Order: sequence, then C-alpha cells, then structure tokens
Amino acid sequence: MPRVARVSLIVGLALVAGVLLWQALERPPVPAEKSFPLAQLLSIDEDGFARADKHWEFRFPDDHGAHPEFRSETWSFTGNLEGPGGQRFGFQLALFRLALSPDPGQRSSAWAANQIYGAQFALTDASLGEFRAYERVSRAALGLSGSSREPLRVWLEDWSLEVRENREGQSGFHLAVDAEDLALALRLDPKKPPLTQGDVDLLDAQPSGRGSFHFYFMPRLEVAGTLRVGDRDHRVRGTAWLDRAWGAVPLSRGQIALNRFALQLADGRDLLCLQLRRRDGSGTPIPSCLLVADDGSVRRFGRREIEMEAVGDWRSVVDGSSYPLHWRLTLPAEGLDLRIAPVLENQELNLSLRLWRGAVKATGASQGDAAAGWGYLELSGYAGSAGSA
Amino acid sequence: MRFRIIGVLIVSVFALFLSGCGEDAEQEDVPKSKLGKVSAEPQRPGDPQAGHDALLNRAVVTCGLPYSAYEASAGDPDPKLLIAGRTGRNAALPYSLTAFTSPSGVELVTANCLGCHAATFNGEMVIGLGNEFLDFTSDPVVAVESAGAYVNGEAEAAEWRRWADRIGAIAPYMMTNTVGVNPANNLTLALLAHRDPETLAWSDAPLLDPPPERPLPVSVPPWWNVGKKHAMFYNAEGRGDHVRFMMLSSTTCTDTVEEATAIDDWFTDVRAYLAALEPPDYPFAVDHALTEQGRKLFEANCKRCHGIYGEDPRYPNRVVGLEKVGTDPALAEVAYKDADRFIRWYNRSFYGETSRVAPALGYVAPPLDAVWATAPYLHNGSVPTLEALLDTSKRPRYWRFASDRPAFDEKALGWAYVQSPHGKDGAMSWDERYRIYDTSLMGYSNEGHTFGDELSDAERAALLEYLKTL
Repeated sequence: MPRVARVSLIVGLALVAGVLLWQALERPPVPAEKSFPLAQLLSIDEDGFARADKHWEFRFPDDHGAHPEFRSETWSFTGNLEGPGGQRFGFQLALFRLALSPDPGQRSSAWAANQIYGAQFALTDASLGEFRAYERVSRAALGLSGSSREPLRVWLEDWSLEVRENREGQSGFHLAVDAEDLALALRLDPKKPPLTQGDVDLLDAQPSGRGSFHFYFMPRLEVAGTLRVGDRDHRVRGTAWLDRAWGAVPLSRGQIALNRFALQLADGRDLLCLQLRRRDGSGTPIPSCLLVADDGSVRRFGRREIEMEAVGDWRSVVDGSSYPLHWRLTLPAEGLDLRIAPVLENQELNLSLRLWRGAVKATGASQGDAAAGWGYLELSGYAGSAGSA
Repeated sequence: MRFRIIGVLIVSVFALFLSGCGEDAEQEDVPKSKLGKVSAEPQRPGDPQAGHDALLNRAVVTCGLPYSAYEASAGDPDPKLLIAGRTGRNAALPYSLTAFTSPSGVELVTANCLGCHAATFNGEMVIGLGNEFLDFTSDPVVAVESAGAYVNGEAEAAEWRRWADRIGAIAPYMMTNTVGVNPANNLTLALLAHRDPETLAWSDAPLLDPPPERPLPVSVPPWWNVGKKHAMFYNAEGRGDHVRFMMLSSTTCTDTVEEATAIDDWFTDVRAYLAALEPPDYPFAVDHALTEQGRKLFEANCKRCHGIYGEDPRYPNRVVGLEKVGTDPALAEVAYKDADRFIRWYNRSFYGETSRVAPALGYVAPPLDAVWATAPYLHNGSVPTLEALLDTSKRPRYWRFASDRPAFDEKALGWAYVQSPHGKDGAMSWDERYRIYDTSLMGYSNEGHTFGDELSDAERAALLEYLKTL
C-alpha cells in the first residue's frame, strides 16, 4: 500500500520541524523578561497570521527565504561529511523563526522585535568520539538576527544561511557556524529537485485547517567546505538534506512519538523512513518510507511493505533511558536490506528537550549487491524510559 | 495538512454479507433461505420524521476522533458538504460526520451512515444514494494514528486510543483494491469476530476466525428501496426485523447490550424514515415518445423479477438463483457456504434477537426505482452504465471512472467512464492500479444478467428511456 505513506510523511516532516520550536520554547534558554514573553508563545493564537490552508505555488529560490507573514518557520540542514584523512563528521544546523504577533505595531525601543530566531547546531566527530551541541535564541532586533530577501539570507548572530547562485546559475546554500572552537563553512548544492507537499501527498495536496503549514524537502545536497575543530582545519565533502516548513508548524506531538530515519545511499538513492509510535507504548508502531531515486523520482512504501526492527539498545549516560540505536530495515519489494548503526552511541541531545538525534551508518544489500550509506536517526519519546526498560 | 480523516471515519457500515472460510454449510442453527419469493415479516413502527432527525444528528458509532483534534487538523468544511436539518455542532460538520459526547465528557467526531449512503447527483445531495466514489484502498491506520499528534489531554487521549485500536483491528479487512467499491460486508464480519455475541464485549484478540483480508466488492444499494424489500442485502440474508441489521455499524464501538438497546430504541424511527424515503426524479430530459414503448418492453421482459411501476406498483421480492442470473457468484457463495460461524454469532447475539441471518444461494432482483441514479450496476458495481447492463457487448472488461467527481452520462445512463487497455497487472502506477476496475478478478466479474441482449438497439433505447421515469 504505497499511498499510505503520505499522511505520516507529512506529519513526520512537520513534526521534525515543530520539535525544533518546541525544544526552544519549552525551557527558554534566555532570561525571561516582560518584553520577551517566550512562556506565553505557546498560547498565541494563529489568528491574524497568514494561514497555510491554500494551495501554495512553490517558487525557488524565493521559498528558501523567510515567509514572515506566517507565524512560524523552520530550516533544518542535516548531513554527513568526510575529511581528507577519512575522518567522519555528522552535522545538523536547524534555524527557526517565530512571530510574536501578526501586527507588530509601532515600538519605540530598538530592542523591540516582532520576530524571534532560534538555532541549534550539533556536530558529531566520529574519529574523536565527540558529540557537541549548541543552542541559541535571539530577537530580530539591532540586527542580531533576522532575514533578508536581497541577498536571500537568514542569520542568528554569526550563524547564517545564505542562498547564492553558482556558476551554472543554480541556487545553492552557504552555511556558516561558529561555536566555541568549532567553525563550519559549507556550500551545499542541490542534486535533486525539492519534494514539495504535493509530491509527498499526490492526491490530497490541498492543505486545510488551522494547523496547516507548507513544507518541502530537498532530499540530496552535495556538500563541500571547511570544518575547524580546535586548531585543525579540515577540508570536508559529503551529502546533506534540507527540511523546510512554515505556517502553523505543530508545536506538540500530542500522543505521538516519532522515529525518523534519513539515509543517503552511495548509489545515489535517498531513503526517508518514519516510524510512528504512541507515547504510551500501546498499539503497534507504524513505519512508512519514501525512496528517492537518483533521478529524483519517488516511491512510497506502506507499513505492509516495510520490515523495521530494533536490534540493539543503548542506555543514556544521563539517566539510563534506553534508546534503540541499532536497526534492521528491509524493503522486500526493493530488495533492500540495511543494518543501521550509530557512528557514535552518545549523540543524545540534552538541551531544552531530550532526544537522540545522531549520525548513523547503513550497510547491507540492494538486490544482492552491497549497499552502504550515511544518514541520521532521530528518536524521540524515549527519555525517562529507564524505569520501564 | 489535512489528514484523510473523513475517509477514515467512514467505517460506519451496515451491509452484512457473511463471508468467511472453512466451515461446512447446513446445520440446524445455521438457517439458509430458499430461492424465489421472500415473504414479508412484521417491522416495528417508528416515526419517520424523528428518524430523519436522528439520522442527521445522532451518533450510531460512538467512538471517534476528539473534536479538538479534528478542528486542529481538518479545517473548515467545504460548504457543499453541509446539509440542512443538522443541529448544534453537526450543522458545521460535513454531512458524513456526527458529533458525539462520550460518557467521559469528550466531544468526538464520529462516522455516520451518510458517509456511504448519501451522494451528490447533478449537484444535489441525495440522501439514500450510495456513494460509489469512496476510496477504501488506502490504509486507514496511518491517518488514524497520525491524528494522535493533534490529541492532547488524558480523557481525549483515552478516547482517541479506543477509536484507533478499533480501526487498527479491522483495517486489514477494509482495504479494497479498487476505488469505488465498498468493503462494508467484510468490515462488519471483522467487527463481529472481536465481540462476544452474548455481552457484545470487545476482545482485542478475535474470538472467531476472522474473514479473509481482501473484501469482496459491493456497490452501495439505494435506501429508497428499503420499504419495498422484505429481506435485506443482495443475497436476501437479512430476515425479520430490519432495524437490527441497519444498526450494525454500532458494532464498531458499542460494547454492551445496554448501549445497543439504547440505539435500537431510536433506530426504529430511522428504519421508518428509510422505508418512507422517496426516490429522486430524473433531473434531465425524457423523450416521452419512447417511454410507452419502453414500458411495454419492460413489462414483457423484466417485471417477473423486478415488478411493475407507476400507478399500481408491485414488487415481487424474488431471489434469483446464481445459474439463472449468472452474475458473479462469489459473494452469495461465500455467504452460503463458508460463513456459518458468523451466522451462528449473529443469530445468538443481541442483533439476532428479533432478526436472523439466513443466506440464499442467489441474488435478489432489486426494485428499480430511480435505477438511473444507482450506477455502477450489479451487486459488485462491475457495469458502469445501464446501457451496458442491457447490452453485454458494451460492458468494459477494464474500466475506470472518467473523473474523480461524478460525471453523469445521460446517453448511457451511468457515470462517465473510460476503458483501460489493460487490467490491474498492466498498470504503471499504484494509483492507476487502484483506479482500474478489473472484471477478470475474483468477485469482480461483469458477467450475467444477459436479458437485454435479445433487444434490438431501438428497443433498448426505448427501454432505457422508460427507466428514466422510474
């Protein structure tokens, strides 16, 4: 049942974006003050903001930039890199924007701002066995953070994303991040066209409802650039992907927890899988997958076409919470049989919200030939599982 | 994003074709019916007006999605889906959904009968017309579970889990392989398999061998024939009190005899309304120069099984044997030969107190009131137009609806369709595969009812013209 995947993919993509907001809002990492009512943001009504309940004609590169008329928005770049000596790195840079009110009105202070920008940056250095994560939140005031159209740019202090044309006239992304002794400067060029909500949800693309949002997904970006770790500069290359959403990006996952697998195979295919779980552990988890071929064409797999099994756990060093980090994932119809293992076990994010999100390696077989790839696994809803595990 | 919640909520079905596998027929507690005339049996009286109101506003399925989650994910309904006569919260819900407040105080959005038994014809919503465009090919579980992302609060979560668990249990039995056909029969059997017949208590593990997973296709019959028919369902297996069959969609969530009795109390009114329901009038031009010739042809060739219409209508209530009618036998055969465990379940349950299941090895020749509105034809919906029904040379072997929205073909009398050069096996995509009606598949045959083949083209045209007046 391939079409079944579409609903959960939509939810999955959105929730991945939504959790970024949620993480930042749940425990504000900046001191609360009256003019900066983060605590009340969750209760802000969507009224007055543009609603993402109408057909959206995606236009690129414009849609890579901010859509400030919508309440919330996310950009999330995730990928795996390799240094000249074969060192492996995983990275994620996620940016979000949140509007405080649909009508900012006139404010006297230069500190006043109607937009809040936040970001998370995580780097996994597999060769050193290190995982580091950083988080920032800032108001769009005094130029500290913001977005612009010319050039197409989103920034939060010295963390930034900029869209630039390459020599062939194609739009690519430039990411720059500086955090303590880490510095990342990457260029990311799309190798496949974006998958929009219409591609993922072919028959029912029309969004509706207050909880609506627009999204797209760029399944494969080719990456080249530099990574500085301490006093060492690495020339790095690799692949990444981009998740984007704007509108009323859901801030909560309700009763649902999600495991998300994003794998970029060496043969040029990209595999995105979600496993929907109930938070209370009842019911049967539901997997769905999207396989993007080298030419960008998409095939969906429903729960009856997927075998997904956790084959090894890891216990959090924080409190012993148990995370399933080792998996076997099989798509029998595709002859694809993969084992997924983390490049480093301790990639538990312990910022505003705890979850495990980290770089993984996939090895196995495709139609009898060897298959391999790199990716990311995101596991939410396991923190605090120590008692019951 | 909208979940396909509306589609998912349509699990409110009352068709019952007892089909399963593995048991031998003819035992004392498993009654079977003979071919030929079906006798009338007394029906409990009810108030048609109250029944109409109940049908539009009361919930027969008592589990569903918490309203708060529905509101967050579904958005404002298309105004075309709002119908008159609905009150309170229902007035703002699409016609196929009914609000219900659970005993725990959570407002729910639940499936109702109209999800399958109302449809638009020529821009008008017709209550009682089967919706032949519903898509049961996708897995409802994904949408039901995903909807949990919008469910917050303990009481809401408990209600959502209960609904999701029920849908999860029956989902494998309700997925068809063709858009448009209805899985109601199989779905109902799957529900019965999870219930104790005496107490109606739900069991997560099936108590009976469940039915085969792949449903046999059925077309949704029109409600305005209910008043004429002595037995319910295509194989006339629904004998005795019709109310208990009509309320079978309650088996999704009704877990006690007490709850079932409460629904039964008002469903007598619903039955009275359905029995009094009038068929719609043909909304397009009729060539009255032809209809009289058509009437004569009809009365010479069709009335023995289908009856007489007009001033002094008569309907014979006849079950025609499989060999004689020649239409796809699977549905009737399975119900007759391989479903004894479900027949036993029904007949000893609350539902069987005033009614009984007794399948016949044949199909009822249905009343033909407003037959022009009820394409596609035959019990399995295998023949897209009346013209093709009366001329087997015009029946497409592989076909699909010409558009997602019903487009009526005034010449052929049916939904506009296109022929496919290949069956499902030749489809290039899953979407195409699901849309092709492939009459070479088991249960999907378009054979039989060849009685129109002997007519000349002119006679057939006259007969078709007459059928517009029914």
